[in-house]
Parts: sequence; C-alpha cells; structure tokens
Amino acid sequence: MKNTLPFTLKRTAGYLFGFALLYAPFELYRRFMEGVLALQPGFFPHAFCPRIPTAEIFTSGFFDLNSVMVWSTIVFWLLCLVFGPFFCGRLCIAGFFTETLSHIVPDKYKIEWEKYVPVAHIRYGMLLAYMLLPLWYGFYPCAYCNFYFFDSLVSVIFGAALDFTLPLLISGVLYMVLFGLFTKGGRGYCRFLCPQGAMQSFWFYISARLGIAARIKVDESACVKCGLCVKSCPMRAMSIKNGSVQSSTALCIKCGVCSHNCPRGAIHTGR
Amino acid sequence: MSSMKTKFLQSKDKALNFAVGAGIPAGTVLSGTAGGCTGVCGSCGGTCLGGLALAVYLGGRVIFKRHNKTVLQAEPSANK
Repeated sequence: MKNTLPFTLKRTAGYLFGFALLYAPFELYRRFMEGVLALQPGFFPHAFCPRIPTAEIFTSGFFDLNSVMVWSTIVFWLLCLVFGPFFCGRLCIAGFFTETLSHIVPDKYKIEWEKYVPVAHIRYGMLLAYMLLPLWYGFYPCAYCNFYFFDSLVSVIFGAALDFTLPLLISGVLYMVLFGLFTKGGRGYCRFLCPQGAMQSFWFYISARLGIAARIKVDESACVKCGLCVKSCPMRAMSIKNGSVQSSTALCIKCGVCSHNCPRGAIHTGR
Repeated sequence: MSSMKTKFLQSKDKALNFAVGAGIPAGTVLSGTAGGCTGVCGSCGGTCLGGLALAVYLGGRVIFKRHNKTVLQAEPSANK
C-alpha cells in the first residue's frame, strides 16, 4: 500500500498557500503589491480576471483599466501557456475544497458525469459565451467565477458585511452539493462552471499542442491498464480508450494525482 | 453506414452540449434580469440561474439515459 500522506500534505500546503495568497483575511498578493511595490492591484482577487480586460478591448475602456490588473492577467495567461493550468492544479483552494468534501460521500452515490454528457463541450461552450456576451450586453456573468464566487463565500465566513442572497445560495448548493459531494472526483464545478479553470485549460490545450507546456504522458510499456489513474483523477481527465490510457488536455489540471497513484510509475509529464 | 450515423449523432450531441454550456451565461439575457455586477452578490439579478438550468438539464439527461439504458460504459478496467 502506497503512503499517500506526504503527497496529500504537499498538495494541501500548495492549496493553502494559494488561499493565503489571494483571499481575505490574508491576501498576501495584495499586501505584497501595496506594501512592497506600492501598487494598487484593482478589485481583488479580480486582478486576474480573464474577461474584463478582453471585453474592455472592444468597449474602448481597456486603457482606463488598472494597469496592475491588466499585467496580472497577461502574466497569468503567459504562465498558463508555459506551465499549463498551474493555478487549478496547485493553488486553487475552491476546487480542492469540493474535491476533499466529496470524500465524505461513498462512491456509489456519486455521479460520473462523463457517462451522460460530453463535459468538455459544456465547459468550453460556457467559456465562449462568458467571454463574448459582455461585448453585446454589457453585463458581467460573474456568478460562477471562482475569483468572485469563492471570494464571496470566504468573505461571508470571515464575517464580511455581505448579503447571503438567493443567487449566492443557489451557486453554493450547486458548488458544494451537486458538483461537490455527489460528483465523482468532487470537481464538478471546476469542470462545468468555472470560467477561470476553462480559460487556463484552453491555454494549456493550445500550448500542449504546440509542444510548449509539458502534458501527462503514459508509458505504454509499463502501464498495466489497472485503471487506478482513471478512478483517482479528480477532473476525470484520464480515460481508457482503445486499450490505452489517455489524458485529456482539455480537462487535465496537472495535479499529479494520477502519477502518484500509478503502481507502476508509468505516468509522467513530458512534451 | 451505421458508423457514419453514430458519428453524426455524436457530433450532434457534442454541438447540443456546447450550446447548453453557452446557454448558462446567455440564459440570463433571455430572462431579462441582466443588470450588471456591482460587486455585491445579487446585484446582477440572478446570473446564477443559468447554472440551475444546467443542473435541471443534467438531471434530465441522467434520468433519461438510465431509463433508456443508453448510459456510456467505460472500459472494464476503469470500472473497478
């Protein structure tokens, strides 16, 4: 039996660091920007929003945006091109929270969405409309973005003066119950509704095809097709097709769970 | 011929689900509730209602596919 404790502790530490980096009451990123660099990072943690700068290019408001916000977004995208969805896989506490939560419910009560719908298509359909709609309608469909939604939840938990409204409640139930507790892998919200995650995976998909970012690779000669990687992948990115194990770059967040669980050490990253 | 039909149905299903995904944020426009986010949850007038529609759609797919026994089966080793 493999000792999973060091790996789990390492993963947890990464996600807790991500939490401390972005969310109140810690907000290390904002403190660093303000305290050390004397810069205002804009409305936080929206500083990394992929949609607002894109929409503002077309509405001529781009140059009025907070420059830290624009640069944070550009650097964030470039990092995703080079490293893949590093934020989802290593730092995003929102996804890790529901992934951990899902362990409470036995597997037989959880839904394997891939059996019923092509998840990646819903995910990227959502991203497309999320990015494009504001160009015509000028409203901000932020309700699902983890940088808005999870920040709101955390603010409520830490006692911020925020109304616990019906929309927040609906999003919360979807996030924690349907797409968390009762979804295999516990990352249903990440897969269906998180535009930040979809955006990172979009860059990863392109960069992996261009050979820039390293992707998950399976050594066919070592693989015994036991299916442990498929079963353990929180994003359900691993599958067995035509007798070989494959990883989908459209869903993979490079969290390392598959390679950790592989009994033969057949899974590694490479270009 | 049947493989062509299967491919067509799969592509149709993928296109339909892509449209469903796009409908999550787009649905709020149709509902006429799009007011713009001001940073306070609720001010957008219910942009999360599209997610509720998604949950209903997904629930419907699960019930329909289970009822018609057309659930995709993963390869045996992945089902252990």
